[in-house]
Amino acid sequence: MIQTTLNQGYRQAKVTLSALLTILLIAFFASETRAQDQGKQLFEKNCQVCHKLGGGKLVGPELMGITQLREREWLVKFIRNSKELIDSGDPLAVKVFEENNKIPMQAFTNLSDAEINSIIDYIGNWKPEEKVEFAVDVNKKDGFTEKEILRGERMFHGLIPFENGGTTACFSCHYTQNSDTINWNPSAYDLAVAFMEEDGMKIYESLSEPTSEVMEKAHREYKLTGEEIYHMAAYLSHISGHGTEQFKIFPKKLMLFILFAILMTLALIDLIFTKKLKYRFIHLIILAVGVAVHFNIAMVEAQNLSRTKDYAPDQPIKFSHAVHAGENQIDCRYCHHIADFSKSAGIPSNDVCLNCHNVVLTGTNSGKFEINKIHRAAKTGKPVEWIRIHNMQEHVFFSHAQHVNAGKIDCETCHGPVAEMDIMKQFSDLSMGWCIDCHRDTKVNFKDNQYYSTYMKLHEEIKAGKFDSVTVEQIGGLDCMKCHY
Amino acid sequence: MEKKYWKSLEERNNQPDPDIYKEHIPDGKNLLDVINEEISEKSTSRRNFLKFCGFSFATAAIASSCENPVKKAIPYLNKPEEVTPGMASHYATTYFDGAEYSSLVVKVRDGRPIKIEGNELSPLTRGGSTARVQASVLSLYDQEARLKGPAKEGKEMVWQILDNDVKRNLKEISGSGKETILLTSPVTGPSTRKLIGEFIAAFPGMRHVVYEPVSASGMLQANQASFGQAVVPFFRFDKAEVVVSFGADFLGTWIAPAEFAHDYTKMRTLTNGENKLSYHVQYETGLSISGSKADQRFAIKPSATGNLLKGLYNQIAQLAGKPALEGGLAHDSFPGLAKQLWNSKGASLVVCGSNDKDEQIVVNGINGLLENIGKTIDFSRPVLTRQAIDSDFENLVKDFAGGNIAGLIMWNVNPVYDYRNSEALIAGLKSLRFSLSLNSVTDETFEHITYSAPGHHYLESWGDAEAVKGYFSLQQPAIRPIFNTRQPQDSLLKWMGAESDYYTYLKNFWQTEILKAGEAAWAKALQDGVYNTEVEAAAVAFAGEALAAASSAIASRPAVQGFELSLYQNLSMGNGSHTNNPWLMEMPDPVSKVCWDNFAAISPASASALRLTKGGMVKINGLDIPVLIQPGQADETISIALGYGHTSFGKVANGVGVNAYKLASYDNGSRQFSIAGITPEKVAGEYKLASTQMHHSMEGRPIVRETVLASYLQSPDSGNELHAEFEKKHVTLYKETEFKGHHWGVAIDLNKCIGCSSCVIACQAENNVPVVGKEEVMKSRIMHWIRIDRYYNGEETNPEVVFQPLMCQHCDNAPCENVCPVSATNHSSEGLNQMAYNRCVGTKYCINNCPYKVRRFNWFRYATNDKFDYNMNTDLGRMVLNPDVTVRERGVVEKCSLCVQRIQEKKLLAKNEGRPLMDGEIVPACAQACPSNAIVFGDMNDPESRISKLFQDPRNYHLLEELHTLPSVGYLTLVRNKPEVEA
Repeated sequence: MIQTTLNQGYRQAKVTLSALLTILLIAFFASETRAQDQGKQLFEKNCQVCHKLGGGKLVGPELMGITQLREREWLVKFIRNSKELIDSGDPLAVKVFEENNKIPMQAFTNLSDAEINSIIDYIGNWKPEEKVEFAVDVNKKDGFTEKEILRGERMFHGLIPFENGGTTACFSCHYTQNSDTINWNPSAYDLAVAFMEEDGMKIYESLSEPTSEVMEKAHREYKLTGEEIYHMAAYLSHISGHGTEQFKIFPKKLMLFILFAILMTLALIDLIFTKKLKYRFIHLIILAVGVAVHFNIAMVEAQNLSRTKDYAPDQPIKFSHAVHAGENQIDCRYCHHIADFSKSAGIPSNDVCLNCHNVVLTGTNSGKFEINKIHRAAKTGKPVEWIRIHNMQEHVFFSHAQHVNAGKIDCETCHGPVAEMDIMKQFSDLSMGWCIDCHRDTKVNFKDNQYYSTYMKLHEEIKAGKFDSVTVEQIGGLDCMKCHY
Repeated sequence: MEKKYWKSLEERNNQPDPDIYKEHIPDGKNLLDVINEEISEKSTSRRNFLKFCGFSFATAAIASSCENPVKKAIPYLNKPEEVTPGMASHYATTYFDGAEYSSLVVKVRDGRPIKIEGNELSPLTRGGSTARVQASVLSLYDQEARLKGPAKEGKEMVWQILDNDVKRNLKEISGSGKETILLTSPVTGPSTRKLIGEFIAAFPGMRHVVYEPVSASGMLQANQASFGQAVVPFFRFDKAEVVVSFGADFLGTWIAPAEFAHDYTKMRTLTNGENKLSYHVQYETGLSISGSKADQRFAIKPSATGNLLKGLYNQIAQLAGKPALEGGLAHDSFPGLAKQLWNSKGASLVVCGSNDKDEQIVVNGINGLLENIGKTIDFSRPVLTRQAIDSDFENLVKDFAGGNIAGLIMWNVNPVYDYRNSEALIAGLKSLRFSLSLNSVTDETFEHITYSAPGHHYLESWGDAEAVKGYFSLQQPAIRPIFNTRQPQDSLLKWMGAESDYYTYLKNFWQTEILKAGEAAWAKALQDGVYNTEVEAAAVAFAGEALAAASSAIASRPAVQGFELSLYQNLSMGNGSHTNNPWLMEMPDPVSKVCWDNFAAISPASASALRLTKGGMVKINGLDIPVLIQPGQADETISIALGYGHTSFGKVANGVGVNAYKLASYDNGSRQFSIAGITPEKVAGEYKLASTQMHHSMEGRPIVRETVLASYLQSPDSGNELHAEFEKKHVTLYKETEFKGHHWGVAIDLNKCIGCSSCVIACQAENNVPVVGKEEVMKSRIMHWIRIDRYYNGEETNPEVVFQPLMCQHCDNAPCENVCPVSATNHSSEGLNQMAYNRCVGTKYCINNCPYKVRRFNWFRYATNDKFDYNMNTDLGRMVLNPDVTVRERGVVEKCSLCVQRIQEKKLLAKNEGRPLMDGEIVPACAQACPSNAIVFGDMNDPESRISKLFQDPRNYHLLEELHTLPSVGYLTLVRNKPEVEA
């Protein structure tokens, strides 16, 4: 939740590293066979909406153990087209139909025999997960000793290996330090928050019963022991109150500043006392350059006081404008719809997210973890606390309606290539000079908007040929009280 | 040829105000010594100051190079359809505080009400409102005085336990054959009236008593005797060509001031081709705003009212050929006045503010003679906001001692404070077995009752009102209840065991009894806030026999000598139920220009007779009160404002002024606020009143221009001849500024301005103007952006009074702009004199160079500063701030912006809709609040706009136009309908 700006070097290293990691992962997963998953995938795609495996009746009956009850041949027929079977008077089919409130099952004529058989195989082979008992309380959430927390931390960072395998350290995916490239995995802090919630994440279950493909693949080899889970819980409960660490920015400018300060001091000392260097112009050059560098740094820094260009804080949800506005081509004003008529563009309310995410439950990149946060907010009644990026100074009045609706300015003009941003950042510096420059150059829709018909004198001047278009400046766009009141 | 105006007695007599110097320079000392002493006393020398400066610049630089704070943006979970962040919604609702009614539109921003405006659809208030109504939004956010939840003997409890306790008590009292009293302020809501009826019926032995601190009891009884109807008729000032008022301040506080002000000024209009003025004569004791607006004003002692009324009656009776009454006092003005009244038969109006039944009967008699009944006095649409008969409450206090009353439920009344004999009342309250208050704020009565079931603020409530018969209005909540309070109607419904809540009750009632229609009509009524029905014309006739009895009753009164006391309601406090409102507390009284106190107003002659001086104290019936020498006050009289002297009403009200209610008496069936036979004594001690009077004096330049009707009809520029002269002289070597788009301006009709100060409070609410407190006001640091300047002219015994609203004049050649070293104030392309706070460095050069003295300096940070403990130092109190207007920091200058935020808002709306702005679309807060439409805002570049036409009017002039400041604010001369032309 803390602003992070990285220096260029670190960023490049990070990009290279994550690219390497991705290639490794892809190579690893590609070697796995996909065939064994076919039945499962088909089941999840076609059957799961109405049937459960273990856990009783949903719309259709429970399917656990159905392969022992019915003939395989009959099952294939029934799945292919149940209505046909019922209409043909098959007594078993009629019985099943009537037992289930005469709701007909959808026909799956699109599936091949092999596919249907793979589903039946999957159902036949499916076994409920065995309830695992642990000797320690794996759901404990507070009251850990410091030693336990420390051990948990070491495990998380891969310093203590897990007993039953799992070589990659947790923190290489579940990061503990922010960066400016998006990491789609939940951060350690995210996990901790989910874990600490009442009725929240359970460590063992989320590893053994993954809810998404991504998760399953990533966690396949991790079989944690009770003792390990206990220590992991200790660590998570510990960091839940802390937040993700801020990445320390290397203070390049400060170093430069100090370096020149030292050089200048040395030059002065040598000039006045020690006099080791014969040529005085060396001292003078050092002093002159030093003073120039100092003034330059001071001036640039002073100008940027309280300006936050490139501010890109870590948001509570890994919401990517690149995915929404870029890949999916959603119009800015679908979510920020009040920009047309209100001064504020509006952070979309939770229900706007749910318009789509009631259906879209799994993200391509982030799995279910991020989208679940929206549902969790709706359930708990606690709205998502986004970090505000564009903070206009308080004595400035800015109206989106004025610019978007009356001025017909594109969102990108001020907000930059949002459709390419995974992490939203402040594109413009929002300084007064930036505003004024635009007001000087931008032309208003003077002829078509009837509002301007009252500017008689300007119309006369246009007719007289003094100019052919009117800028914002000419209609008072530089007046103090356009923005400050 | 210009009249000599003066702002205070000191100025008139060319004496310097001694206080100004005394405060800073002790006797016998040189100014330099004083300054040196002051400097050496303080630990901060100039050198230290510079050191601190260096240090603070360094720390500021370091501190600001640190990280910016992280700000959060928290959206709605489920955005309500009607709420758009950054945009205001408006809801129509109704204000009725037990005395004053107003139909309103509430501006709600992000779920919180921030501004109140009059509802233009209302046939009564027509978009106007008074200062008290304007300020009522602030009391919603009164963290301290509002009750937070149900309580028993001050201990908080839950509603369910309270409900059980109340039900049990009421049933037991009812069963034991004893009485419970439901004591309320007047109830105007028809649904609430019905509900109270049902509530009383549910508990046998319960009785409803209506109580008003300042009632119209005398008039109700008189009308019962004269017309057989105990109602207050509607006074049609808009039809009255001659208005005579005996002590009724109908423009300020009497009956329905916002309505009357609108109607009255309609007859005082000389624009749009009108060339008639009503003739208004006022006989009164203290100088009220109605008296100030009168064409002729006479100072009278209150005890003379009855006999003077009889004298006027006799004069008119003579013209009508009717028998005269015995006795009566003659007045020099009567013969002429009687003739004028008689000539305007059926179109004249005589009103009287007295609460004496017999005097009101004589008034009825006069109006009867003048055939005004049914014409200017409308009984078919009686005013229903005045219901209390004073004797009911007097008897109740006696009955408490009788022991047959066991229970009391109070709703919106505070009799321990505003009843004259609170000791008797408190004794009575103590004898009760069960007492409960439905009031929403803590008050003096609160300590003496057992249970408290606090109601909502009116902006959180449902409700309805019928202020005038057939004119209904609805009240709807504009915010969810802030505290754990419950609407009193809901409480009553719960206690009588009803299933439905009050909202359902109200809706059913309206759909079946008022609208007689379904959902659509209900939605429309809610949206409009008002609903009107036709009423049958009432046939009333004046019964003559009452008059004879009243006349002889007046004749039989013993003659009184010596000083008399007159207790009045002033514009800010009214009856004292809003005293804890800091905006009202700091609103200067338009006549005395005093705020933060009440005082004993006394005439200059009587003051010197009693050897009283400004800043001294006088003792009246055991109360020590500061003295104010008031020109125009009747000799041998003292006026004191009611509504002050609270003891437990909240931090602003407590201990300010004296409680004058304790001086009232009870006589002839009504509470009397005029008391004869008092003996004021000078007492030792000094007391400083916070007065804005000597501020901003304009040193006798022709700033108010005035004429009389006869001269005006001869030449419309009469009194304003200078304007044409100055206009010719506006030549300049500089290039004249050209306003290519809009050129905003304001025209103020001095004939219509009644000085009610509604604009002052409206501006304060709209523009986040801070309250600074009495000490700061005394240092001339009041922050109001618009003020009402008051000038006297003529004799100090009975001067004529002129009000002049003054805000930034937005000069096109502004003296303030030239002297700003940082160009923080400069001119906009639309003619506004703009002020950029973030640029201002606080040199105050502009303040010094402004000839109108309208600029204000922020000597302190007033927001989030506990030294200014009013409303801006608590989170809840700051909710009222307008988010579109900057809250100014310490060290910057501020002033009227002509509500630039409203200008920009409407311009944007027009741009988005692609249409030209309409004239009258932009309304600044002051113009919106004005009940008499004296302030007109518009575009001077639009030749068809109202303001362009007003600026063409020969009456129009600009303040100090001889200075070539070229103000964008114009004033229309004051025209009085005086019979004689002033030399």
